[in-house]
Amino acid sequence: MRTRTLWITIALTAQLAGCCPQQPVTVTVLPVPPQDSRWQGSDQDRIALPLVSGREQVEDALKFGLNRNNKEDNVAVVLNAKALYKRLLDRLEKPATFSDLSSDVFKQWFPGKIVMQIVDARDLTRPGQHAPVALSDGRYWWIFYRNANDQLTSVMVAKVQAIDTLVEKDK
Amino acid sequence: MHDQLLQALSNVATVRLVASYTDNELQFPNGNSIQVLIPDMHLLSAARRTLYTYGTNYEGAGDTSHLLQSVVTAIAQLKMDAAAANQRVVVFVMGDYLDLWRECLLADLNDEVIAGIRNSHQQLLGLLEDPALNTHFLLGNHDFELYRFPSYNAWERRFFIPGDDPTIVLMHGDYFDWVEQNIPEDLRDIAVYLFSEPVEPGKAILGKMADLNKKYNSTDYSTGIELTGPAPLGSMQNPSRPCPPNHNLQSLKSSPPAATKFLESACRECANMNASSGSHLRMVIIGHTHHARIATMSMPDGTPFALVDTGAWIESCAEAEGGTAIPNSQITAISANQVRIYQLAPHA
Repeated sequence: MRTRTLWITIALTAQLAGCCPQQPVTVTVLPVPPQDSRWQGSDQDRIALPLVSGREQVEDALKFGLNRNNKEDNVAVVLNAKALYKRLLDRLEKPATFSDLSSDVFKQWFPGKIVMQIVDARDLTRPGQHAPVALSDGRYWWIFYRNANDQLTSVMVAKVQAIDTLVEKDK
Repeated sequence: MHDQLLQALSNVATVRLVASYTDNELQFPNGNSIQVLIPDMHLLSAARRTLYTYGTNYEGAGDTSHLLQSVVTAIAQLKMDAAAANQRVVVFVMGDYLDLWRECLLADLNDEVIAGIRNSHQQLLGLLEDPALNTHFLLGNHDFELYRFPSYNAWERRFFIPGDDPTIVLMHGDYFDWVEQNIPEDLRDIAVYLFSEPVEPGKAILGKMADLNKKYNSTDYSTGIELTGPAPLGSMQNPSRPCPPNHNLQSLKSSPPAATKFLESACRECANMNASSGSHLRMVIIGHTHHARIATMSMPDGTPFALVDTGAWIESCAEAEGGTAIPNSQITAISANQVRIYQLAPHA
């Protein structure tokens, strides 16, 4: 019995010391970036969905690269953002649920997998069951917030250049 | 505001006009704002700088003038004064700000390498990155890899000004190296990222751009980066004379090839973008070549087009081919629909 315990101890120690091959664990997490890459100042001014009064604000955010400093100086990052994102914003004017994000309409815009773990340092507590989710259009990440019925209630667009999208990893 | 900038620069430097260009459709009719563009600095750490015979002009070890720092300080002061008078100064850094390529082998790039450069230029970087200056940073080829670091998340590969109905694209300019080397397949994705719709141009394409950077642009930097000799700027004008609407413009017909480098490619890209997006672009502003100049031609529909190369703060220039070399130290300004490039030198 003592021998068996010893071997287990050695094996665990070796593993902790990095002597054994370890299985890599893929953790798909989207960190919410600072304000110069996400437009919204606080979670209070997320843009409400369905998109009714906030459309112009989203268009502005996309045009100025989500950076209010660019807006302050009227420096655009995306040429003709209003036209480029028109169809997506048209869709967001209608009610949508979490499951709609997997539909063909949304897949045209967000071909990658849905990122389920959004790390937002501004959160007071860990998000519960209906936590926000994120999808990438290639340039920006769209973080969708939902209610207990999984209806999409608001959106925040963020730019996180250093994060891979799963679709791109396959290329 | 050209006069105010010229005065601010003249307080810290001897200023000469390299070139000027006026286009009344540039959408910058308002004399109460000015766009100021600072080209390639190629900053290195102090340790790495000793390995090269050349470095950032008027900033490196042994330089007592600290001209570059004085110029940025003057621009920052002008911005503050302008704000008080309800005027606006918008500042851009045109890329190749930190020279990661000369600092290390890119495989070794990490936070400490970047910190090594930053620590050697704390005052200058403090001025340029002061939130009050609100500098808009472009990534160049030598600092493109910064995209991998979240601190540089807000830096971009291109800007369009003015934001409402852009007439000008600002970009570092290395893109045109690739265009003119005729590698269309690889370039397709890059073109999408730089010029067109946002179709999956995330990290994979950014990574591909980085690979292309290394493949096509890396070279032996022991004696220089872009130039084999001083860039011939043409006849410069003393600022005591009034600035003419157009001065020292280069054209395909009458200028040597180096003076019109990238002109046709840039014009073609703008024409294509206008056709596909309905935009009204008519000017491309770059750095990259370290050869300050303004070159003009007509777009296919007859619209005047200009390529403005903002020059550099590294390597050298001369008024004429084979003339006396002087350190590149240029600033470009846009106001009241006029673009000007200035060459600066420390006061005697």
